[in-house]
Amino acid sequence: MSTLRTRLSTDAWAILLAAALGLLIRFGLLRTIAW
Amino acid sequence: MAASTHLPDLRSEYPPHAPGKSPAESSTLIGLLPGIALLFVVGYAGKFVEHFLNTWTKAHHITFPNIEYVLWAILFGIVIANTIGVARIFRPGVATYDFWLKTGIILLGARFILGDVLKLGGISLILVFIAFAFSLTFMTWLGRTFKLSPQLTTLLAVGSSVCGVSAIIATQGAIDADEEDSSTAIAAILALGALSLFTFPAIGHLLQMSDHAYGIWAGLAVDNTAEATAAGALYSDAAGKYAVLAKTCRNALIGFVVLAYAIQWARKGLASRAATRQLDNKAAFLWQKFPKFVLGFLVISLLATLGASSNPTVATLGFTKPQLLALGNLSRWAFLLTFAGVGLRTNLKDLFKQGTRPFLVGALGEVAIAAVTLLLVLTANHFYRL
Repeated sequence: MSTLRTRLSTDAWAILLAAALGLLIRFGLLRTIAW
Repeated sequence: MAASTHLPDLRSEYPPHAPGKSPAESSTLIGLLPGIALLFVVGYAGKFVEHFLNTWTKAHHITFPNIEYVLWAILFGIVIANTIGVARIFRPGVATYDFWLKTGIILLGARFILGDVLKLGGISLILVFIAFAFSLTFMTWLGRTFKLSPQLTTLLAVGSSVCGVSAIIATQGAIDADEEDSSTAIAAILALGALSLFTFPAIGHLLQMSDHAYGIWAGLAVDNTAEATAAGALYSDAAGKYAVLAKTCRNALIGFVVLAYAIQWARKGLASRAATRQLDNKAAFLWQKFPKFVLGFLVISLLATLGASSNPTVATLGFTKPQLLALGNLSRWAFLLTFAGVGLRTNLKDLFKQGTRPFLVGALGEVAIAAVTLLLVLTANHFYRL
């Protein structure tokens, strides 16, 4: 786990976070985000 | 166990440093939290002031221009960083602003239909090529005139024509420039980026540019991605969106530019053996330098496009309108953290500490590039209604 964390680049972490947020929204687990 | 493991270096551009000079201390997940909280507080304070000023001036019937929260967030950040300073406990978290920038750009894909990306991206790419050819030639000539070393000239040329700090770091290895040259070029590019935050919106308003045209200009002319995004968002939310698109097109070219320089330096026999060996597999070289977050942006944009399809089967594959709105707002929150980081990273003392000649070459080059790209964008706007 620690190796994986060290090896992933900022780009990869950003893609992972965006994908996780996208999935949460796509499947209705995260609905309204105010701005 | 988890608390003591090393996290990835999310701090690639903070503080401005050359490769090998990155902060030595490692950070834990918990160690990032104070800085991220500071980014949020500074960014949200900017948003609060924008809202407060708008409400207050309206209530008192005072005509006052809407100042985007971006400016307040950056100003608050600059004031904190240059008065009380950013305490050590906050630094690792503050440095994650680059990570939030990339996350924000990927999520911004939700606000673009792929057709728009291709159309505006296509026009941007053509403008990028013209601006790029000009800036490389002009910066190289300036560097020679001011008797800078070929390495420093190359780094300044790449930094001002492609994508700021990332391009300088990528090129440094390929041309065997030393760390001092990289640090000087990075400092010059960051100093000029900070100045553009105040000059670009003023020029845009003076010329009464449309959000599209201004955004593309900021994306083409401002060097560092964070500053280009901020310069766009300072004008308007829509302009920020187009600045990111144009800047992303520039970023996508980074691999080709570095490859061209690496080949040129290897041919002259000036590159190290390690740098020359990297050229054996050019496809791998290009992939290594390619900014991967651009792919995330395209995927989200594709899903936004599918969701808008008139074919119900195809539409179910993509995002619905409320989902796109939620993704777009998440992107805005990620940018809020980024803009706070831009301010907190700006060290005014460092801006004036560097040598006069590199700064002068950078400044003259940037002014010329800004003028040429402005002319290009205004011409393109005339013909294509950007």
